[in-house]
Amino acid sequence: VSGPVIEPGVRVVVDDQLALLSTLELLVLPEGVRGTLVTTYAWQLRLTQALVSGRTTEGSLQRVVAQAGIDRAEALARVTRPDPALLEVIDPRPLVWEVAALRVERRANQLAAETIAAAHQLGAVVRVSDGNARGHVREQAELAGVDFAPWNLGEGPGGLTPVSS
Amino acid sequence: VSDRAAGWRQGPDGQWYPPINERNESARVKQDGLAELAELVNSGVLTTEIDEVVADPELAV
Repeated sequence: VSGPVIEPGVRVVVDDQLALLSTLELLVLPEGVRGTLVTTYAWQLRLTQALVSGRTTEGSLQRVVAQAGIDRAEALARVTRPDPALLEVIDPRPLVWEVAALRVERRANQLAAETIAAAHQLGAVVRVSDGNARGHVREQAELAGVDFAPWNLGEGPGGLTPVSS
Repeated sequence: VSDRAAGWRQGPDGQWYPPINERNESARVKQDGLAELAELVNSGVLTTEIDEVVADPELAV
C-alpha cells in the first residue's frame, strides 16, 4: 500500500476494506507503520452486514474472500473476532461523548463520528481504501482536522501481497 | 480428520488446507489474484457493492 508518510509510532485507524484485507492476511503495511491496525465498531458492523448478506455469494466481496483461500463463514469469524495481532476493534463506549457531539453538532453519521472519535482517542491517523476516500466520512474527518488519506493498493513488494509468501 | 494435524481445516471445495503460515500453495493462489484484488478495492467497486448491500445512511461512506 502507498500513501502519505506516517510518523513512527502513530496508530492507524482503517476502514472496512483495509480491515478485511488485514484479517485475511493479504495486507502488507507501508514501511514505518508500527503496531496493530485499528478499526471501529461501525466499520466492523458495515463489513459484517455485507458479509452476512446473501448477495455477497456472487459479488466482489466474495471474490476478495475467495482470494484468501477461505469461505464466507471463516471470513466472518475473522472479521467478528479478529486476531489481535492483525486488527483491533476499538471499544466504542469511551468514544460515546464525542460521537454524540459530532452527530448532533456536525450532523456526522455514525461511521464518520466513530472514525473521528477513534482517531482523536488514539492520536491516530485514518487510512482508507481508495473507494472510501471520497464522501461524507472524508468531509467530516477533514472538518475535524483528522489526518485522513487513502492507501492505494499496489502489487508486489510494499503493496497488496500475502504475508505468508 | 484424524489423518490431519491440528490446525488443518477443510475448505469449501472439500480439500484440506494447512495453517495459513504453512500454506505455500495458497500463497501462490493469492499472488495470482492480486491484480484483481487491488482493482476491486482501488476502483471503488467493492465500496459500491458494500454500500448497496448495507443500505444504511448511518454506515454510508
